[in-house]
Amino acid sequence: MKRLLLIISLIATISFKMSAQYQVYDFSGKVTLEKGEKSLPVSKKMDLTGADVINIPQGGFMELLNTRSSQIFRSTTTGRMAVTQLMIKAEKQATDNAQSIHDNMNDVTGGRKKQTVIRETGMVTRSLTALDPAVAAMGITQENICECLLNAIRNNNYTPRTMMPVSLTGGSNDNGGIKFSMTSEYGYPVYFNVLKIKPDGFQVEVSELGQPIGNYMLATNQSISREQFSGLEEGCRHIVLMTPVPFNLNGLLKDIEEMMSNTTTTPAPAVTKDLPVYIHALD
Amino acid sequence: MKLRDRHKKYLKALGITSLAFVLSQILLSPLTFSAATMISSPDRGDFTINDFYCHVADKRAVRTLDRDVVIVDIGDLDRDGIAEVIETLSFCSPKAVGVDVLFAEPREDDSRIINALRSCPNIVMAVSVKPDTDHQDMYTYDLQSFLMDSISTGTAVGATNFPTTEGDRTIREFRPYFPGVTDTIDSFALAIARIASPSSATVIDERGNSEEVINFCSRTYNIYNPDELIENADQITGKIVLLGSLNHREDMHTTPVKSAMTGVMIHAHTLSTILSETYFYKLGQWWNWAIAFLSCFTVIALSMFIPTKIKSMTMRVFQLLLLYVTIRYGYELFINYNIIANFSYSLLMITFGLLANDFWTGAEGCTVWIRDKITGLKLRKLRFPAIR
Repeated sequence: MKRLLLIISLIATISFKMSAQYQVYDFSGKVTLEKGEKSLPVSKKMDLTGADVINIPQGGFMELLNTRSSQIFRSTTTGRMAVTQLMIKAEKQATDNAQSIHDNMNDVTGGRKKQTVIRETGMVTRSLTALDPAVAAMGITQENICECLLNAIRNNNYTPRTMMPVSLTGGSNDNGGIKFSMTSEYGYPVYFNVLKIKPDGFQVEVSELGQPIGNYMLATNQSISREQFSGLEEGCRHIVLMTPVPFNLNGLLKDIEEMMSNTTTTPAPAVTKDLPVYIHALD
Repeated sequence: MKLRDRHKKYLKALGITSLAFVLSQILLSPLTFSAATMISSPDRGDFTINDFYCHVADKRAVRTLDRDVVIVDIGDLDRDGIAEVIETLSFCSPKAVGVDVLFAEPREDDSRIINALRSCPNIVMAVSVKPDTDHQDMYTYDLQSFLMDSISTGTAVGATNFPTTEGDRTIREFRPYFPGVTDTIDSFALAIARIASPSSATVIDERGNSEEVINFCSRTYNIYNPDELIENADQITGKIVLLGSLNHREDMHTTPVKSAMTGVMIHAHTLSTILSETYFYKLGQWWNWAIAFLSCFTVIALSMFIPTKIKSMTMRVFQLLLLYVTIRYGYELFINYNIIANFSYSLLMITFGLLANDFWTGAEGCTVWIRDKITGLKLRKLRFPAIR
């Protein structure tokens, strides 16, 4: 029966698909399409006519497929242009060999340097802006942060004791994944990452949403969001750890592991109430 | 200028060019290596001017979507998952299916994958070959799927090996055949082409080259995940489907257009090269050296006729111009006529030409000096015969 349904759906797909001469092949940025007087957001495989007008924003690009010739025309030029205009420009650019060589000369000489991969991607090695002087005076250390985290794990309490400096929303989705989004209007940068508390006793790792390891910075007037749709390890709790100072997450996890392996019966360490170490569960 | 003087200058230019040729023959290897390391990564020296042309051509604003070849990314699917994909593909009636997966060892229940492969028509399975230790320039099977006998005896196979001397080198060419003692093993792409387009396979047979350059430029493919197959069935019917993983880290290779390209994508480009019959013609070594000799002779001869005061500056400007012209028209040949000319010999010989010119002038100076010395000594002997 399943096979029959599969065959029917395949026949239906093969028989009834008709495509226009031009289609959206790929794009980036908020590219819009002006069809008549309407302005529509662009989506992949969207049918187009030669007279349609495309608006490419700064930093965006658009690729059109001519389904008859199977050619893909790419434009990185920003602004409004008709589909046919885009294709003519792309064609002209593609046939200008001298310009192509000129444009790519840097890629072979200086451009190679740009491909250098820094292994500590995502890890803050120096603060980008000045720290909050009030926080700096508190002397937050790795030990402090570690104690706060351990305290939260022991007490199974992952709600920040004081109001967080950023607005944070997050939680699980219907498919067993999680997401978070944060916006900062705080006058100084905050540093954070997402950790994962394993269900089988006190084991802490970097969450799927916190990869790669390191700490991330959210500057004033910035927002960041990330979501894993599904496929997370079951039973784990994902928490956001945030402080207004950079921290060494590698060292922190190592210390936590050591403290936990020593004894689980030791009472939770006392934590200064006002220490700005924010821990928030994404449940 | 007298005709005799002019001839003399041409002869001198010919002599200097010949010296430059000898110098470049001697110093070719160490210099090209160090020149290459300036451009490519320092530990590899793995760069040709062809890579630059490929890179430029690939970045053009117009690309071609190859409608003949479709890639199905199997990602990390297990054998049952792959079997399901092949079952779905069978219903779509593809022209040929190339399975770039090696089922190395049997597992507990392989019946589904065996049945799926058996029922899929026009399938080509991947194998790998290795040099035959007993026979020079011959190859023998290295790895192949354990289930080959279970599928059917006539199932086509193709070798997925790429012709590189060392691992992690840039893949620029493919080897159409791997001759063996008993039979010749086709490359994976050629084995697929034999099923899907026998006439294109005949063309490559007629060319008879042991290696062909892969045309990587400005070509893209429809890539589908297994769950997108049904809705895109119309794109699969009558097409060649390559089944492979696009995120397998161990199967990543450097190509002229990308620093990391998966094996299945390289096979797709190889297949497109065969199907479209867009082969590159590499100019032979003799041609390259002949062009180099002629360019060098032109530069040297020109330098003979330039007044000494502006010679140095003019020659440097001319050298830069020639470098540009070389790259520009090399690309033109590459992109419009599918000809790969190695102009690095020309550039090298022109550089050596100027060095040879210095040597020649120095040697001339030395000769005059020695001659003067000898003449002077003879004169002194004649003037003062008593001094001994």
